[in-house]
Amino acid sequence: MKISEEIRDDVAVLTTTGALMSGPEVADFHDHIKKLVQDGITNVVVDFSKVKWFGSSMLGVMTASLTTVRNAGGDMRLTGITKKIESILMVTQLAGIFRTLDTVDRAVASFKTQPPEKPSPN
Amino acid sequence: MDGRIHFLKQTELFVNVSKSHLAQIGDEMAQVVAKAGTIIFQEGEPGDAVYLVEEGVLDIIRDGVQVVSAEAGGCVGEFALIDDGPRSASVLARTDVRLLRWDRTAFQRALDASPGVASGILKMLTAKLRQDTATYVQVSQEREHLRQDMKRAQEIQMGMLPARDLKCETIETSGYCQPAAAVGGDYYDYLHTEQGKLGVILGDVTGHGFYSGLFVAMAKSCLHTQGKVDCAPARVMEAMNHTLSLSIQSGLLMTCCYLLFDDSRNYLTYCNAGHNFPYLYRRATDSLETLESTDLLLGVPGFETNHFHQKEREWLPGDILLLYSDGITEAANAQGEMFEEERLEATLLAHKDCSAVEIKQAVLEALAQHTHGVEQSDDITLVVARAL
Repeated sequence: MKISEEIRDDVAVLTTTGALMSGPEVADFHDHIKKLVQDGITNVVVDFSKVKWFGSSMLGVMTASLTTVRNAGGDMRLTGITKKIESILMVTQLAGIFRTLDTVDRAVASFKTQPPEKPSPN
Repeated sequence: MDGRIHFLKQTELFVNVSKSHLAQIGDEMAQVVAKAGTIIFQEGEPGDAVYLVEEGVLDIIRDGVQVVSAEAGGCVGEFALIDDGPRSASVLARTDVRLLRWDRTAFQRALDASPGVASGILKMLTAKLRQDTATYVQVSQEREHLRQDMKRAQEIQMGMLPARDLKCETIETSGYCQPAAAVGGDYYDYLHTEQGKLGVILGDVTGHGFYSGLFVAMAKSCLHTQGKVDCAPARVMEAMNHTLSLSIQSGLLMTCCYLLFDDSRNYLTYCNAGHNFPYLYRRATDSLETLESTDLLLGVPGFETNHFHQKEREWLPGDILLLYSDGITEAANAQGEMFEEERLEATLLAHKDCSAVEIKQAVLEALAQHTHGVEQSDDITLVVARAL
């Protein structure tokens, strides 16, 4: 799995590539998110349009990454969701937790129109 | 220059070289000063010089792992000059260092001309070979310990699965679990409640391996503890979710479906926490239904106190339930084509009149036929239950 990064309007757009996102290398994704948060970038868009499928280990990494950015007052929004990925999000009911948008542009813009809710002090 | 000759004379490389020849060699060497963190040379590069450490420490790194270090008097980089191959390792300054750089031409000229230099090189290579052998033995012993630990972990995990299939007056079950790694993240189990009901559970931890196996152990412990307090599927799932959420650092999640068969009412109650929809074959209508997820998968940070839901379905003689993990439907053949739900459904329907064991075997055979020897990449688990 490869991750490329672009910063647009203070939002990190991460494009992931690879036919299969599974195995130990998916931990790199969470490390990437943690470094973004350390650098003060807490709003993230993940573009999955170049990924045909991801393994179940990616689900754990994605929820851990979501927690990382939300605890820092940001959010992680998804785009480029294929039917397969949509299906796995639906079965696991993670579709109710991750916000998905049709295009990268809309996902980036959504942070202006609907900014993330700030975490409660507790 | 006398200081340099004195230093060189003390190194193993030059112990048998005459003072006059050492003076010439010393002249050919150039001093290099580098800060801590400097890469002296990289693995794979052509070798152009040998370096002697005058002061400081160098780390020798291979495939990203530090394998050895060189301190004052030590020598690095000679391999590539002797066999003309690329650098076999990278060398990084651990501290600020002062080195003597001896370039390829001068090194090879001295090697050809001086038996003392050749003897020094031989001694040094022999010492490195001894060190490598000792390291190899140590690594082999550690690997064997690890293998034994993994074997014990595997035995413990396999011991967490039911020892045998069940068969009683009203129901028969047959289960199978084959981890992809030594320790897997799939799990199935049976629970006999005090009210005489039978519980069946199948879970799949995201990923597989040692950590996933520990997660499975937590899930099993929680299931059997909560099952004694309140065996209702939703309550069991809530307890498991709460327990698994405590290990949020792990980044692991678990999809899980738990069913409770109530023969006295001819009903089954289930709670499906984000797991692949199990199949329910209905004899009365000769049709296949699925048990959709009722809740979010287990262990999601921030959802520790989630309220879970349960649903009921009729469970009549001849009905068949098939629970499975995605290691079955996502098993790919050499062309990358997955087994998919359609093949699983077709196999189940083609064997609807068979026993639970026969249905399980039919699914495994269809899977083996599909993958045709391609190595298993995910844990494979299924449970078949049949109402009698």
